[in-house]
Amino acid sequence: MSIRGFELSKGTVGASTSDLQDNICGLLANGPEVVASEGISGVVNGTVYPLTKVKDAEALGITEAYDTDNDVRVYRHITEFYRMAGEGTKLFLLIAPADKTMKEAIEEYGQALIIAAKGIIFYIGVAYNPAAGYVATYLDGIEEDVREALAPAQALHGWSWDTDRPVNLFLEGRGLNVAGAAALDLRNITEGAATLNATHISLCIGQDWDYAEALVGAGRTFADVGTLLGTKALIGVNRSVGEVESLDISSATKSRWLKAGLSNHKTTEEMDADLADFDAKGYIFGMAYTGISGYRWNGDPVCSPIVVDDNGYISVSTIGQGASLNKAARLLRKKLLPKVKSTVPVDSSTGLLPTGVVKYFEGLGNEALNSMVNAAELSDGKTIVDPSSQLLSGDKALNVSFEIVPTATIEKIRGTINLKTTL
Amino acid sequence: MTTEAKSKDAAAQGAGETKTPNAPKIGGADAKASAKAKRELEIMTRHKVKTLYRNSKGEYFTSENLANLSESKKENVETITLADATKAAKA
Repeated sequence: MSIRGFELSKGTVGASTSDLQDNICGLLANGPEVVASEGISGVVNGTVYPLTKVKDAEALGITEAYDTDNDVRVYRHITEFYRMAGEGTKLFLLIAPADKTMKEAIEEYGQALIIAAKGIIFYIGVAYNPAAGYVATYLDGIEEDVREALAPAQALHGWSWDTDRPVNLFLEGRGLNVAGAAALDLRNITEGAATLNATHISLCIGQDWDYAEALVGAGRTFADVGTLLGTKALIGVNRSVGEVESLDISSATKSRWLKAGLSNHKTTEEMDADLADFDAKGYIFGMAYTGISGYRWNGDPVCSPIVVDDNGYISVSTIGQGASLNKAARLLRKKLLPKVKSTVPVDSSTGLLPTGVVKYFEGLGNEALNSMVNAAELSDGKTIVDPSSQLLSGDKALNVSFEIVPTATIEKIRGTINLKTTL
Repeated sequence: MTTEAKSKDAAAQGAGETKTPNAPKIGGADAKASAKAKRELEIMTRHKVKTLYRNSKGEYFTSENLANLSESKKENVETITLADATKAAKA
């Protein structure tokens, strides 16, 4: 007997098949230490502090007063990060000594930040606070202290990839000092005779103009890298920080980003004629679209050319593509690493792997890739195990290749409109 | 040191006069030029280039094209070679 007639139970969901959190961030900035006192635990340069909310930073002594008193923007970046990403998001903070340049901070503390976080960081924001009396030298339209940090930042990504904890880095592109036409093309940076393919490095030159206006000196030409970092932490690896529908970076209630500017401390309205150049050259900044309120990032470019080769392989040209690649690499490693040193049979007539074992390993790789496909983070993925891998002699390596098709982004919609007498 | 400054300095010494209070500033200008050249050398080394371009605002570029685009007149762009900077840095 049942008086309900139709009984419907809620299905249960098992434990997550993946504990890989893909929005964990790090913030690397230079600034003075904070001496511990009552209610303040203090900050030691070079130490990594895990945060999940703004109050965690305040407990360390990183407050608005810290920023104001020291003419730095550490609290600013943290509050912007949490305004966009939401409280609860993990942020590992490392404050390098105040006298360190951006390049020095990256080279001397970047690896430490990743290691201390046990490799779980996906994105690192790098902020730079010039010392008092700072007089900038400009190179290729940006401060030389920023320009010289691009290659070391990519080197840090390279190291993170080689050590199986790949990250994307967002640099504070402070001190823009050039018109769009004369700006460095970040999609085509040369270092000597070589091209710098900074596939996982992005340069943020956008700033909340009203906030910067209240600052003095070098502070006015800062860039809101914390806002960019928080925006990325809010969304999936493959999604663009420039999504128009969902990622308005302005907040009327918090009086943030009500007027967008660039790091030359000019509003985007003043720089309107140059924005297309900066966009085409791979800079990231906040901008307004006609017909919609608020501000959005212009896109998610990286400092690398857009290349498609004869075999159909494409270069990493967006943050989304790079982060998708990073996540796929982490998932594949997690899936396949347990199989290292495992015992497998070989075909006694060839000494090679039997087809069934080849398919088994391909299935394992595909499981990892399919988890991203099912989450709409990839369009497709394929694992190919080389059946001629020699496991009885030589280096006994199982040769595997992975091909992934990323999701695409609609950069623009192009249409034509005409009047007609009839339809 | 400019030609004019050099001749004034030489004339003052030749007449047996004591140096004017302005004299040390000439040495300061040399030191400033040397420091500038050293900075330019550092930039060239860091960015692996043998030539730098400086516009009238004192901003550097690794590309002549970008330097020209930052100016209304190409003549305002100064070309600094590695050899020039090395020589000036030693002066």
